[in-house]
Amino acid sequence: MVTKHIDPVGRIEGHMGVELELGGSGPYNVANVKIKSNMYRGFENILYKRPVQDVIHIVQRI
Amino acid sequence: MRITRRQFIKYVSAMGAALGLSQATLNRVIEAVANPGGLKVVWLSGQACGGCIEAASNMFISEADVTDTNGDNMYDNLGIAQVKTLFEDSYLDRSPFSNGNLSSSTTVEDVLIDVIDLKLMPVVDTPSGDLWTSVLKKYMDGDFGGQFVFVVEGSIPTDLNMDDVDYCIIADKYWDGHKVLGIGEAVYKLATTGGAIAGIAYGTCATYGNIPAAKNRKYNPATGQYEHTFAMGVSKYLHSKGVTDVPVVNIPNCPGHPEALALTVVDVLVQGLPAVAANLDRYGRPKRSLTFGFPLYSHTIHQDCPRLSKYYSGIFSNRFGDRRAGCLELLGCQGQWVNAPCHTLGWNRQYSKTSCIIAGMPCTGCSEPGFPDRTMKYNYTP
Repeated sequence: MVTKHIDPVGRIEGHMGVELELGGSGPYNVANVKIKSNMYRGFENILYKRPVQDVIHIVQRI
Repeated sequence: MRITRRQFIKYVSAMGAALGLSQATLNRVIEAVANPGGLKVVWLSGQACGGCIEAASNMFISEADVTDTNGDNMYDNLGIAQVKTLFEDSYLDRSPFSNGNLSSSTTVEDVLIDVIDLKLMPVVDTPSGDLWTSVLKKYMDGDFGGQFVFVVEGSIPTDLNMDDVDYCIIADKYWDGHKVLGIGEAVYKLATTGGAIAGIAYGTCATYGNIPAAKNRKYNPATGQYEHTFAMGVSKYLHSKGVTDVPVVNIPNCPGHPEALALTVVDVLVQGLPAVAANLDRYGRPKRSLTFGFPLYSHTIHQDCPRLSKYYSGIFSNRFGDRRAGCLELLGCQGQWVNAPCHTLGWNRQYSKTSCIIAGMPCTGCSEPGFPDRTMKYNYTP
């Protein structure tokens, strides 16, 4: 079982990584794939206990 | 992409004409910009939303954008008179090198690649994975052997001990057993072992933290902490790490002001880095464009406000989105103390014709440290 790491993935906005496990059946011998989204800001926690009118001004910058 | 240096010169000279640039200064701009391989740039993306690069990409819309393969203006058929007018008095004339399709438009990526020699940018770069990371590692270790500048959009997450956390991973460490490489470590290595001569923090996230650094009231009793990512801007991060010899030019606003970025890049190319570093205000923002002699972050929103006469006349608006009358101070406008080029440069390439105030929204101070907690003070019941 060979594991391939592809991080970052180019040509996209944001941070994304792919983890491939080779050795399976199929045309590309891929046994398992993990897509990683590698960025966390916690917008839900930032919005917690905030005036509800301010939410549109914060979530627009998500 | 091969004619972008020429288009950038046209863009700059047109902006110079709009802002009153003398011919002698313009020649210096053209000389500096036409110098190939002048400024090498590594662009990194932290805890960003993509708005900054979107704003920067809208900076260099040329007439080739609206020209189809026959040379006709596509917007003629669509009948969008305003757009046609906008491009008719556009300062970018049709390039003789342009093949006329959409792919020949000059975007900030083209300028960053061809004019200032962009070396790394995850959104633009085709390579993925270790191929991309190996180039970044070369810059981080100082193996590149040249002068370069790094641009960061998005904030940098840390923890209480200023250590790196895994809240923003930009790459895989293929040289270290595929551990993760955070944005903080990358910026720190670029500034120290990499030997970057300067950094440009673009957008309020990269300058002061912005929304990722906003106040967090979600308490986690298991860890005894509030659930935030301790995000901060580039200059604060580097100072906390003890790196003080790398000047960081802050270009805030949410998103970052694209013309301010362009003028700062021209300043670095024409005037040199020490002049730019001496031009920063107390929050690290360029006070004025040295080449163009134009105020950037030295003017407040209030002093150039198109509704300033209403302020002195005592005519105040009491609802959001009011486009006709009234100063917006009662709605919570922060413009009296907020420094931003929104009214001197304007947005969307319409100099001093567009801003939040003109649209009827009070200034929320997105160019200031402490946004949004200290500056977002909308008054919903005036």
